[in-house]
Amino acid sequence: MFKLGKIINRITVIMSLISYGGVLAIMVLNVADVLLLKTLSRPITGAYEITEVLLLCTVMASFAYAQSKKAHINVTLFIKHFPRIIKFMAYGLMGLLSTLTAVAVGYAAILQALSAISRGAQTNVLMIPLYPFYYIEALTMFVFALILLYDTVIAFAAIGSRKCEKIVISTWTG
Amino acid sequence: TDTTDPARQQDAGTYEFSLSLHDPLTSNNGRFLQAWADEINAKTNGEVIITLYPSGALATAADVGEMVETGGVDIGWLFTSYYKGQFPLTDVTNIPMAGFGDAEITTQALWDLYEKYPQVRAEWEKYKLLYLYGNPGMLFASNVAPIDSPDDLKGLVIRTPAGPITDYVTQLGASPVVMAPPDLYETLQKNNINSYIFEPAGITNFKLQEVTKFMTDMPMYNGAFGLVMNWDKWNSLPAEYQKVFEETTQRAGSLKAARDFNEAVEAAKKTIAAAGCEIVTVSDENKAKFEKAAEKIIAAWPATVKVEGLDAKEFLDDAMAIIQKHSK
Amino acid sequence: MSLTTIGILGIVVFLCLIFLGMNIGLALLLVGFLGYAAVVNPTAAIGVLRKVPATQASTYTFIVIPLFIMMGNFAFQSGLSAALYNAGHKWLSRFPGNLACGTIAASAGFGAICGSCAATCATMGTIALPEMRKYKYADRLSTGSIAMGGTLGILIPPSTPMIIYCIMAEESIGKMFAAGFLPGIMLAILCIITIAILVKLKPEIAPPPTSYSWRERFSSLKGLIGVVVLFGVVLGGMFTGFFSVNQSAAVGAFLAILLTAVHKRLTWTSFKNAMQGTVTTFAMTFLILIGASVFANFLAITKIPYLLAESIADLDVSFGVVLILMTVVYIFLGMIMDELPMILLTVPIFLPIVHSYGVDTIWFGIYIILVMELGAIAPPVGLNCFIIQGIAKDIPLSTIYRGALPFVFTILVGILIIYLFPQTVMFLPNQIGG
Ligand code: NA
Ligand code: NA
Repeated sequence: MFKLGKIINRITVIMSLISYGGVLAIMVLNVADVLLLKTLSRPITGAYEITEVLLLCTVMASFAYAQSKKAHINVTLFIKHFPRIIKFMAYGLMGLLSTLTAVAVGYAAILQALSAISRGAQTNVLMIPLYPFYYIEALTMFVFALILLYDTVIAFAAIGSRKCEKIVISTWTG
Repeated sequence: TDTTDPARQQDAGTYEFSLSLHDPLTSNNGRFLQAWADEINAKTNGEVIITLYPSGALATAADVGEMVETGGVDIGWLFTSYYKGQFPLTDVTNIPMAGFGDAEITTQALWDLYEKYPQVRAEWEKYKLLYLYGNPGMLFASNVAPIDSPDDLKGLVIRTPAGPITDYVTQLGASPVVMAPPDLYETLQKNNINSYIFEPAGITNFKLQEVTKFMTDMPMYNGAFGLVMNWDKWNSLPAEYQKVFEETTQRAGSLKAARDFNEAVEAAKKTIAAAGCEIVTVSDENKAKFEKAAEKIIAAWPATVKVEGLDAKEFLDDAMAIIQKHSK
Repeated sequence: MSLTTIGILGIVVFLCLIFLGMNIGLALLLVGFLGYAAVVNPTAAIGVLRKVPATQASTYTFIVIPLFIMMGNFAFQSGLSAALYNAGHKWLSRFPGNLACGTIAASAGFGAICGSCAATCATMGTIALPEMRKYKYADRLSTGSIAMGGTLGILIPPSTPMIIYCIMAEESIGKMFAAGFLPGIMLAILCIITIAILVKLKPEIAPPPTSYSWRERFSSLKGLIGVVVLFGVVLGGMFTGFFSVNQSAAVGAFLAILLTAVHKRLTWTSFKNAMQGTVTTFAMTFLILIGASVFANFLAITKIPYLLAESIADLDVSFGVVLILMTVVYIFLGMIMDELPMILLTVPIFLPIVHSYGVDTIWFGIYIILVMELGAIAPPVGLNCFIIQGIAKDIPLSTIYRGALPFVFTILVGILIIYLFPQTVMFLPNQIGG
């Protein structure tokens, strides 16, 4: 079980690199664009749309990473006062719903990628095909779902295991 | 009762449809589509109710096509310029200085091409096409100096819609920037771009006359709009109501939309001039220069279009002949 | 089942899910998705999921969110924010609640050019929160003032929501911007008064006034050079119109990294910490933005916002009563949905009603911005409160809501003032004429 956690850790390193790199790339691209605009009146062609696809990859990859750091927001204000079994059952169940939601978004992104291929959808100026970015969206959502699933299993395990209980409670606020 | 109020329509009606548009309800297109929705409601004795969702509240300009296809939105107002690579033949009207003229001529040409070429119809086959019409022509606007000859474009940082116009202005020495219309006001105010290409009704819709000094009264090319409907929703309508839809739209309805658009532009030009923006006219001599400069772009167009079973060069020549016919 | 029933059911299910501990962004997404499937059909609901998240995550103007958050994180790592709050603390030490008031003023200044509630709140959160905790401000007061401060930006021009309102209402954007100035300053002052009252009532929420020698005060200014450079370029660039907001976000983030290096604080650890803070903060912000957008689609298709607005349109009462009812509707809608879709759906219905009472379009625009501010801090879907919770995971959401609540009343007082004295709104635009 915890071995799976280690594998997941490794995947989130990749996700963190995509998000770190993405936001730095957005910064560098836009700084370069503004410098060229102000000095030579020559903005970078297509900077706008490169920024948009970079932002898509960055944001999508960040979800999984933020989940591994427990940075997403859960209101635990009420459930922390529930009796043990109900508390972790409810939390696990919510984790399961979260997982399914992330899977649904990933599935929708695959459909969107296929549709983008058949329509030949591309960006406006540089004519970059759009479908790879939907595949990236799908992939990152599935990784997000995987981490959510892992956290869900820990939540259910917390009903019987003190060790898991500690892990879950340590991420709770409110 | 006032049929423009969506909530009032809740209780009656057997067929309820959502209509998504990215323009506000107060724009010329918003008013036109609301009037059409009211007309449908009246002609079906209140049985068909169409609720407008303006300003992209339900689907953005770039999303509405697929939302109609998948049924998230029942009817959508679609501007082909937001769908790069998906309407290559319909977008023939986007070629600069090719003489598509005003909205009415463009609309006639679009329907001729739509009826004649199965490949044009194929571009729209994912939806039931109701309206198909052109806008009255995109113009130059600038804050540096009046643009009345091709030389004036040198060194400008210009916002352009996507398409062959981007290559055209680049060739004339300007730096194109692509951005969404709602961002234009602030960007102009901050002088991050000093010129743009837009149509006059759009300029007034987005209040750009407040931050614009010169507008060149020379249409360069025309954008194409479609009002499209989800197939399942269309098939759910009984034949008599489908007939009402068809009678109010298609070529005849689209020409009505085009005339309405043309009139809106005349009103918009007055508003723009009243705001202190100078309307620049182009001499015939300089207009010929603009046309000459576009020859390369026009010649290059067929190579950019790859549609199976169609010679793009012949298609372009035919389109030009059709415009000639309607321009007379 | 009628559309309204499905809509109300959706709201109830959403509230149950988040109080059972479900991730807020995903709960919004799930209920929006299921609701859409129930109202239209599953294929259409999948269609919404295909488009909306990707569109939200690739909207160009949203780059201000990650970039300003990054600027804030590096400003923290470089010690710039510490220097700023140290100087503020030393110079304003006699005034109770000084740093909370300073945060309001800084947020108003930053938000004035930024124009995005979420970006202002996240930036000021990363800069101000650790510092205010260092000086022993109660979490309630510091988070409340940051949440509120983050909303001031949309009232002080330039402001994206104002542009969108003007396009919908066919009103001059220039006049609207002018109209926002006085109410913006007025509201900032009201916030400072609120803080003074709060500290007066409960002195333990802020450190007691202390005094410092002039030597200590002046030496605190030494650390401010970097702050002056960073904010000079970012704010100055935006105020003079040299940079657009998006550009200054990129330049500001870049400068903040540079200044961290100049201050010899740019180590692998500080870089990693700043990046981790940046990514996790914008991740949770975007997930809620995406969820809220899908949920707003669902509410729109149920026509609940329309129905609420309509029920007021049908009344035959005085404008004061209409205003109270509208405010109640907006407080309710602001609780369950994001502010921009709320405005897009209701303004077209409210505007003709307001006109029928002879009320000016510009005045109504300022009112609309004020209720949007209300929505951004009102529980349970108050985006600013969520963002702060994401920045400081150890502060309970209930504390943040308790901190934000007094400011809900501050905004209501602001609305009352512009109702009683419309000149606060109309004076500047009337000077422009036309
Ligand atoms: Na602002
Ligand atoms: Na809200």
